[in-house]
Amino acid sequence: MKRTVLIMILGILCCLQACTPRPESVKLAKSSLEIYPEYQNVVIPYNIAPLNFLLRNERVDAVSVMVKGKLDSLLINARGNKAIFPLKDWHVLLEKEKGHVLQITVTARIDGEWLRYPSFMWKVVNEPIDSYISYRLIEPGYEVWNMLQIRERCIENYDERVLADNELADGKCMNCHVHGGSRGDLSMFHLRGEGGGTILSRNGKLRKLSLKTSKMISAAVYGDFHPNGRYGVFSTNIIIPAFHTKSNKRLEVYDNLSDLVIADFDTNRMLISPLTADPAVLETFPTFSADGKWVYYCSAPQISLPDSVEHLRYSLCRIAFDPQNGKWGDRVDTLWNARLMRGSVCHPKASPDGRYLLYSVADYGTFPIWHREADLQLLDLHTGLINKLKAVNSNRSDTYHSWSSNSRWFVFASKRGDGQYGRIYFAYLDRSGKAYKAFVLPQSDPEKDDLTLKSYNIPDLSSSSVPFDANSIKRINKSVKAEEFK
Amino acid sequence: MTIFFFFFKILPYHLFHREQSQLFLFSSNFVLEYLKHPGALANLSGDFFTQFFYYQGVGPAIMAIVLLLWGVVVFYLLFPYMRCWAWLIAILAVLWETGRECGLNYPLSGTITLIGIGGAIWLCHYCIKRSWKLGLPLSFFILALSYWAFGYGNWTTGLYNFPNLKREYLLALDSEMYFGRWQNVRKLLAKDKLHAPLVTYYYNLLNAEQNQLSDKLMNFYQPASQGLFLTVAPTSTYVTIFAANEVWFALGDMTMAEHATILGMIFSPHHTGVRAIKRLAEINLINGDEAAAMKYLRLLRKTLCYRGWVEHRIPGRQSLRVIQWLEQKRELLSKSDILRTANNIPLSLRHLLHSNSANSMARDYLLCFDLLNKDIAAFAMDYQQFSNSQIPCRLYSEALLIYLAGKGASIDEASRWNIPSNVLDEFKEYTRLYESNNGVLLQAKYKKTYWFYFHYASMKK
Repeated sequence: MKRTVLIMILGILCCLQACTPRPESVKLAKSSLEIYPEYQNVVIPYNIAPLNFLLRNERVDAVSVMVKGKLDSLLINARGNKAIFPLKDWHVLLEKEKGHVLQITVTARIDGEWLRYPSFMWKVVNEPIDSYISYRLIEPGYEVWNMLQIRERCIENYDERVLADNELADGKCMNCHVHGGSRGDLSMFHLRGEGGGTILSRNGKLRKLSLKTSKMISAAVYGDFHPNGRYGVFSTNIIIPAFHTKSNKRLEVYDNLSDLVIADFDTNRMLISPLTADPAVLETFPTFSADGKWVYYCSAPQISLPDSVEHLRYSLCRIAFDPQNGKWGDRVDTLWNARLMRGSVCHPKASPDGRYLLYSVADYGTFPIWHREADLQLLDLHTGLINKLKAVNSNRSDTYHSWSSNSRWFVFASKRGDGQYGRIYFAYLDRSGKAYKAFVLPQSDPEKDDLTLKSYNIPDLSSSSVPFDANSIKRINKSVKAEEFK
Repeated sequence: MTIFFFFFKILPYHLFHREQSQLFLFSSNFVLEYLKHPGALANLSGDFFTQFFYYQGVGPAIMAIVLLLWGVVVFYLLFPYMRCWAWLIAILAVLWETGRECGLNYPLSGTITLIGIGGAIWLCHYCIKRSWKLGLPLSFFILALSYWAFGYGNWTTGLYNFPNLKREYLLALDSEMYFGRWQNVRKLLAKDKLHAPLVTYYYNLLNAEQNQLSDKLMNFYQPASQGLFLTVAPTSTYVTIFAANEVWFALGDMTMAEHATILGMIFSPHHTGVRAIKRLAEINLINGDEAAAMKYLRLLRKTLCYRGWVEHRIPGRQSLRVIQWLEQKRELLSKSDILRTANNIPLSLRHLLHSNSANSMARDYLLCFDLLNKDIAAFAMDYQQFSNSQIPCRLYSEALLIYLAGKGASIDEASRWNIPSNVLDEFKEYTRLYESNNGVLLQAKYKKTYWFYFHYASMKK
């Protein structure tokens, strides 16, 4: 009896195997290969999940993909137009091929004919990317939300979990989940609305903070951790959303007022400097330098808004900070002058090794996600040279970046592809400062990005998983009163 | 047959609306998502069959079959205990479930779940009856499998529902306008003059599409400017929120149309829907944003009912009719750029007119917006700036006379505005009656004039 069952199972498996189409009488393709995601000729970390892709070429009903390295190879044959690699075999291959170049050859059956496309390559580098990424999933509904979640994804596989769900938090808006020093055990985000606050996960404790004092124009908005985790630097903004009349430009968000503050999480004090609380100047997007001795931020003079929004340009500035005494410096340096550069800087982020500052530049304004021209730029803090990252940027907005802890990788949100929905892209930066073509976060099914109607928002890398989940947030939202700050 | 005719004759738009607010895709990824949750088979089959509600008569037929099956299951379950009385309970069960299916957010999978659970119980009963020893463990297995396949029913919309004929009327208007069957809309509007902003909204939009907005504005209930542009507020239903895009789309303001469509989609029960996806594809095609349009076209290409629609719209493969339609719509787009808040409607309309002074719909909407808000000064300014006709229509003449009377203008000045003499005479008569406090006669003679609206319509906050 057992033998019969075994034979039957083997028979079924053989049939299934035999049914998988394999290339025969292969011809060279005359058209070019169109794949999604656009994974051709990219540099990848050895710990990334399989780069599954699908063919956009019409009428493909079977594919064969050969991934050939120096020491090993991987072949998949499949019905349909999707190339989906087995997770285990993929990681075995990448582990063996660290530092090597993989050659990928795609053969597709179109109208019964097997066509081979020119090969492309994946370079596997020996420097890993941080294994976790958090992001907010939200409809690109500009100013209104209904269902939104902050999620965390392991980028070595496809495991994803919900960190915060607004359905479990009285429908509150949730935003700006950022890690400190790419650490999973140090992170924060804002829960907006009545009874909300900034949720801080630090030293194994989850706290709810009211980052608003009578001297501040609003609660804390954009923020970042000091490398020692004790401080957080924030902007406080009066944010105004407005719509463009020109159809493709959609939304503009600008600040009527904005200042900077530093929150001391140990003493629940707000540190305010008159230099960054000037009502005649808009200050926003603050971040600490890698050594914690500087605050980088964006600054623009107040102008008449919204009429002159096209002249609203933010410079990149810095001001010293003494973490020992919790004191702001007394001088503002301008590193990137908006007037001279004819652009507007947003979201500066210092690389953990202290070498670079990564930021985005738009023609104007302080909300680059709907600015098609918004691109990332890299400032070498040692030489002062600016790298315009041509290999990384696209003709759609490329913004909201964060660094991997080894400073060799960065992640950002880009609207390339469909121009509507933000997706997460990774790019490699070698030791000489050369950046390489970016690639999108791999999905278990490459069609997932096509089917989803949510944007990936504010991606942030971390080397470990965060210690809380949506239920912890539900509890703290309901039962904990926000700690006051002085 | 009764159920079929009930849905076919009484609630056809209800079924159509349910189809419009869901998106069923033929994709392994999409189907696998169903299998991850309890009630997989019920939800999958429910949504699969719901997509056919798109076709006239198919929805009622599916409803009839599914509800009949539910009745049969109930009958077979109860027959061993109640014998012929099982019929009565089965009919009551079908009536109850038919009522539940009248809920707009109650899915077809709700009834399929009940059939599945009923079937599983019947199977367990059968197994146990044949052999206790084998039947008991088998029953546990069947129930576990049944939980995965059918779940525990949909109770989110309450225990019972009733047909909502007022809502059906609103959905009928909404659907007929969507299909551009204007004769049917006229018939519906003539049949039932329901006082609701959505009804007025479609009444005004229909008239505007036929270049009759100003002529017919005062013939209908007008809840100030809410009958021109629907208010999107936390209290609004998603039907209203979604419908808000139609006027912006017709006027040529694609930013606002897209915004309203996405809001409608966000607040709809499934946060998606073929109608919203189609509209977003259209908006982006008009904007010339092919990448964004393809996002939505790719989704629709994976449906059964909209593949054909997509094939004529894929950039590079568009039919002549689609190309001509796109060209017409693109003429209305704003050529220059300014910023405005979502509620600054006059600024949006004025900007459309600055871009294209021939956009007569934008002109009428702007002037009527001013009038319905009783903003005579804004009306006079907008009329002078944007009106291109020598002789004002009746409505605008009436409003201009109020403006001139407010200014204390002379008869000579009134004649410079080319106001027809008969309107001028009637205004004198109206003023006489108004001053003599003859309300009954005033209402009888001038109820449908702007003068009457101006004096007697109360503005709700």
